[in-house]
This record gives sequence, C-alpha cells and structure tokens, in this order.
Amino acid sequence: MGKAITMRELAAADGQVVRLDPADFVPLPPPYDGAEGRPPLRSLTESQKQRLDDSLDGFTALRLPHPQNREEEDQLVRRFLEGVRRLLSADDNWTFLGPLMLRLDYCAKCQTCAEACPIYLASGRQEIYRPTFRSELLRRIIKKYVAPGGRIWSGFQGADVDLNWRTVARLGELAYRCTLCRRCAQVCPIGIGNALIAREIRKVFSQELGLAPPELHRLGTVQQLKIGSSTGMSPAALMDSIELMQEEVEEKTGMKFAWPVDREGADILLIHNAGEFLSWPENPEAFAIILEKAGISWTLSSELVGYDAVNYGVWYDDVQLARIALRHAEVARKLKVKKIVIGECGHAHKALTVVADRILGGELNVPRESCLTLLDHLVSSGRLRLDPQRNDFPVTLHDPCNIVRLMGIVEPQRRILRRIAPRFREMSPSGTRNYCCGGGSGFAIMDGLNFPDWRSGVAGRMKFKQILDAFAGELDASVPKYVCAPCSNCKGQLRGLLDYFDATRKCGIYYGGLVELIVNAMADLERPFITFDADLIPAVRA
Amino acid sequence: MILSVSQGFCLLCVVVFALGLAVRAVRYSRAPMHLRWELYPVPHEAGKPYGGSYYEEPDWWKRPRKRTFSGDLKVMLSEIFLHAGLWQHNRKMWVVSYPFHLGIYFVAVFLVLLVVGGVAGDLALVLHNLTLGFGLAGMLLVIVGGVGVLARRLTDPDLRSLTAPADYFNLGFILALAVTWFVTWLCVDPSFALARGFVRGVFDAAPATPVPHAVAAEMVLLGLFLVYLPFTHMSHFIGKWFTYHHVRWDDSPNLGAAYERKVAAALNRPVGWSAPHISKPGKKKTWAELAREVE
Repeated sequence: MGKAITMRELAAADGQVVRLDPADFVPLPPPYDGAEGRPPLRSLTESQKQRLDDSLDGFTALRLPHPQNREEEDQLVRRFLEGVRRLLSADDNWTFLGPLMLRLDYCAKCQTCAEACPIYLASGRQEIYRPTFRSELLRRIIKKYVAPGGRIWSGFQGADVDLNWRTVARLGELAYRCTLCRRCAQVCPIGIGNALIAREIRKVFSQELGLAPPELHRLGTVQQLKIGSSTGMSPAALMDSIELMQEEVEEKTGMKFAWPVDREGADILLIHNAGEFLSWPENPEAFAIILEKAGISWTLSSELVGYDAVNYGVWYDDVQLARIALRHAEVARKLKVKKIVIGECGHAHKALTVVADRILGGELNVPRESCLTLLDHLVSSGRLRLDPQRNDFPVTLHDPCNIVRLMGIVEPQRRILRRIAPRFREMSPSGTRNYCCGGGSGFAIMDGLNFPDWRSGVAGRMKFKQILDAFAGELDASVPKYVCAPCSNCKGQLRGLLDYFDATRKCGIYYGGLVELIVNAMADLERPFITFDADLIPAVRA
Repeated sequence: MILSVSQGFCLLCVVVFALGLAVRAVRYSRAPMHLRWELYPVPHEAGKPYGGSYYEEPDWWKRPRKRTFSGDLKVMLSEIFLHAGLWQHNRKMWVVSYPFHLGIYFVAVFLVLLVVGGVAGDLALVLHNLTLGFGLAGMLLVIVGGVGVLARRLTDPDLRSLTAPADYFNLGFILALAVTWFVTWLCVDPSFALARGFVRGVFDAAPATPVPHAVAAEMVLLGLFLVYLPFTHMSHFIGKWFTYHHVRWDDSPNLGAAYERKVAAALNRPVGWSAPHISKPGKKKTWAELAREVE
C-alpha cells in the first residue's frame, strides 16, 4: 500500500516526497514472481540531484533545475499562476476550455477511476499516482489562488494547499506520471477524466513557462519543424535510408522496385513515424511490399515534416500540435494526393485524424485514414496471397490507446490477425479496455536520466503482466512468441520493457508491428520475413 | 396573490435555482468549439457494440455516417436510472450512492406532484397516494443512502483523503433536509396537506393561510438548498449531459461549411501565452499566424 500523503504535505515536504519500493509493486506471474520481477530502481546521482528537482518520487521527466534564489522561486509561482489563468481564457485555450471547465467543476471524488489506472495499481497504490490526486491539486490551486474570493472559501472547499515553488515543481512532475491513456475517464460515473487535466498542466509548463521534457520539445517538435523529423533525420538522410531499405527488401524477398517518393497525384500519401526508418526499418519495408503487391498508388514525402508522422504536441503543447498538423496537411495538399494514410503510429493517428480535425480547414482538410483500415481492406479483399501457417507461433495483440480507445479502430487489426495468425490470442482486458503499454504520452521516447526505470518498472508493469498472462503455459524461451504492437511508440516501450525484464532471453517474447506479420504470411515469399534471434531461438521456419 | 414571507422566499429560491442551472448550462454550451477528445465506445456508432468507430471504414468520409440514437438512449437511461457505470466499476460505492440518488429522484417527483396538487386543488386519490408514496420512499432512501455515503466517506481512507469540508457539508445539508421533511410528516403533516397548502398559496389569489412553523421551516430549508445547489458540484446532472454529449461522445468530423466557419473563427483568436517558442515582441499573434511559424 502506498504512503498516505496529503496535498498540504506535498507542498510542505522537504526532500523527496515518496520513495518507491519495488516490493510494493503489483506482483507478476512466474517466472517473475521473485526478485526478477522487482528490478531495483536507479536513483539520480548526487551531482544530478544538486542540479535538478527530483523531489516528487526520485525521478524527473521535466528536468526542472532548482531555483537559485527566492526571486526565481517567486517567479516560477507567479508565471505558473499566470499560465493557469490562461488555461481558463477562451482566447488562449479555446482548444480545450470546455472540457477543462467540466473537469474542474464536477469530480465527485468517488475514486472509481483509481482502480482503472495502471500506474496507480502497478505502483502498489501510491497516493501521489492516484488519478484524482494531481487533478484535485490543480483544482484546489485554482479555487484558492485564481477563483474570485478563493482565499475566503478555500478552507471550506478543501483548498488547503499552499502554493510555493515546490508545489509547482511537483505538480509539473506529476503531470508526467500519467500516460494520458484515459482509462480513468472510461469508468468515471460523471464522464470526466484526469488525463486532460494532466495535459493541461503540461501546457501551462510548456506554453507559459517554456518547460517541457527535452525529448518532447527541443529534440521533438522543435527539431521536427526545423530539420524535418524528431529523430533528427534530414530529407537527405531519409533518401539514403530509403535506398538502404529498398536494397534490404530485394535481399529479403527478391522484389526489386523503386519506392515512390514525392509522386504528385498518387492516391495515398503514406506517412510513417520516422523512428521506424531508424529502429525498425522492416516496418516501412513491409508496408512497401504490401502496397506494391496490392498495386496501390502511393507515395512517401521527402519534404520537411512530411516524412515523420509524429506530433508530440498532442502530449504537451497546443501551438506545437497545430504547427505540425498544418505541415502534414500542407505536404499532402501540395502532392495532390487523395488521402493521407498514417503508418503504425498511435499518437500520430489521433493527432492528425482526431485532435487536429478542428484545426484544418479548406484545402488543408485532406482526408486522413488509418493504415489498419487500409490493410484490413487489402487483406479481406484477397489482393494478397497469404498462408497463415507461416505465422505458426503464439501471437497476442497490444491495443495502442490512441488508435483503439481514443479512435475506435478495434476490429480491423483483429480481422487481419484472425486470418494470418492461427495462434492469435487476446490479452485481458483488450480492445477499448486494454492497458496502456506504459510508454504513452511521450514516455516511450523519454530516455533521460533514470526515467526509463520508472517507465518500465511502474508505468509498463500492468502491460508486462498482461503479456505474461496472454502467453501463460508457453513461457519457455524455446517457444518464440510475438507481441503485435501496431504503434511505434508502443514498440519503443515494449523494447525497453522486454529488455528491463530480460523477457526475450528468459521467455522468448518478441515484439513487432502488424505489417511484418502480414508479409511473413505471404505465400509467394521464399524466406520468412520475421526472424527471431538465432542465438537464442531457432528461426520460426528454419 | 398575497404571499407570506416564507412563500415569497421559496418562490424566489425556485427562480434563483432555475436561473442558476440555466446559467451553468449556457456557460457550457457557449464554451468555444474545442478540439475533439472523444472516448470509445461511443454508443451512437451503429453496429459497433465493441467500441468501434467510422474510422474502421475505408474512405469513411465518402460514406454516410451510421448513427443510432437508440444506442445513446440506452446508455443514458441505464446511467440515469440504474447508475450502470458505477454498478460496473465501483460496486461498493453504488450500494450507498444509488439509493441516495434514487431517493433524490423520488423526492423530485414528489415535489412536482406537490405542485401539481397545489395547482389542481382537490386531489384524486391516486395522486394523493402517489405524492405520499414518492415523498416517503424518497426521504427514507435519501436518509439511508446519505448516511451510507457519509459513512463511506468518513471510514474509507481512499475517499476520506480527498473529501473536502464542503463535501461533508453538502451531504449534511441534504440529510438535514430529508430528516426535517420526514419528521414534519411524522409529527405535523401526515398527508402532506399542509405542504400542499403552502404551495397552493403561491398560486392562489387568496391571502396566505398561516402554516405551522415546522412546515414553513421545511419549505425555507428546501428553498435554501435550491439556491445553493447550482453553485456546487451537486449540479452534476447538468454537467453530465455536456461531459457525455459535448466531449466523450462528440465524434462529429469536420466536414461541411459550418465547421469550416467555426475553425476559421477559432484560429483568429489572439494568443497570449508567454513561452519563448510562442511569444515574440510586438502585437499578439492569432492562432492561425502562430501555426504557420516554424519554431
């Protein structure tokens, strides 16, 4: 059971508020029911602690430096309050003012949401990770410091929190202890949720104070807008990468064809998460093979931003969200394509298709479609010759929150798997009730300092438990198992998670996308497209 | 029409109550168009009970949307009358919260019947019995459920940690109201004839007839509660409409001129945020201008 802590204590406490103990965490099934299931969590080094505030729980996502004097402390508080006022302004926050007002006004504090939160549950019910904790902290700050007459009624309304730089810093960190998976909102009897409030707090920090995790802002959206991709990949580097991937496809499949780039008037502009080009090139390769075999008119873009579907703004900053969404739409407009198809990237799906829907107008409102819908159509229509026996190994499906719970794309990927993976089984719970991988809202790419330990040890724990449960009875390392995750960030998180628990070596658990499985099932390919690590496990069809 | 002080006060309270709720509803409905933030399952998606959406269809923008009002209605009715979500996800809370809310519904029906009876004058026996039945059942359910909710909030550490004094006050207020009405019924007004007479006096041309202090007190307490309610989160029955229909189930795509106009208007709003990647010296920029900058 987590440490009971009040908001007053959160504001007042010197030093670290909560010390996480893996012994408190939710237990995992065998073979992780012992010490293997509770790897130690690294602390910051002393010199890092000297520089950065980790006083919430010993981790830092924001990397907020300690204020050097009273003036800096006061400035942080003052600017934070200014930002909170802007959140309540129709001009500055038309994007989410309505939903925010409802969330501030109507929480009944019934705590139904707590039992739905994978982070709260996995951590052993740490009070600070309770979904309502950060929401209530912001609510109380607004009641006391922003609402008219707030200080008079603050005691009655429970707004007993004292606002000082520590409160601000800890609230900022708390906003990065939620993956924005919105499972809490699904169970809320009033229909509100806490993720939006976490995101609004992130917005105050980014849009007013200029503070955001560097992976999301400086190395993320800023780099994407200036260089073309959050990976740092320039258009020239993209072309080199495509050339390499073309060669790899030829080597693996014997198929020799030039990938269409900047082909004006193509039916489809396919935009991948550019992380795929660097970390999982087999994913864009598989897409190219499928589209080529199906005879689809498609193209990639080599324009700035046009070859990277990511939009980290959706996690922390509405201005950056709008800027990137506009670039994506502009690229499609210039290429005169009929539609944009978004590759296997969950947040890119939601950002461009759903959230930015009310930013894009006129010619920029180019139709957007999920790759899963297109793939389902191609597989169902029989345009690809597929032999499911080529995927004769245990497969389970991870549902990316952004695609499933937040967009309602649930069945296409399942229809495909039922056709091509004879040993497919669901996780429990699945579909719109599935657990987040733990890498949501940017966590998967936040690799600084000791944050990955928290991400894998706490945020991804329920997902890891689900994976182990899905493969129960088959966890022998000699049986290769495939977690199908049609989302780049989820794959990034799974990579870290399986590594953290050494699950590939111990249990033979692998991960990858959906298109790789489709290509692996292609009856006319001589060799398997998916190969499991030969040092550990024989290739599936060796 | 000559009203007693208490009748006049209660009438004023009803007006403030209605105005307060109307202001809330108008405030939410007039909030600027926001970016989409829906959550699945969205029950008006026809033929997709597993939580699917129109995004599952190829070229979805070319197809007519298949919406079913009955899907929304089914969820709404089960939420309103059974608190199905709470039953499914928080049974311990439902056990006390549901009787409490059901009691409030019954009391609301009772008050409507009281007004109907007051306006109609002589009552048919069925109306008389209905008033009595809804009133007593409602008060008892509110008392039993309210005590249960209070006990849960006081004894369950998960609930106690974030419960504010105002939350206890609100519960106490409702309980005090229910107990006052129940005791008055028990001791002074066994058929609610006096309460009905009090209401009738509001609509009657005749001079106010004096009522026992207990009846006047229960009416004044009710009036105070009605004035107080719209300014608290107890008005969540208004908010819930908006949280579901304007956010959670709002999956309307930006297709057509109406949305185009709204988008254009929203993007023309000025931006005041101060972070270095947004704010530059000079005139405030609009969202449209900022979005075109590369930062």
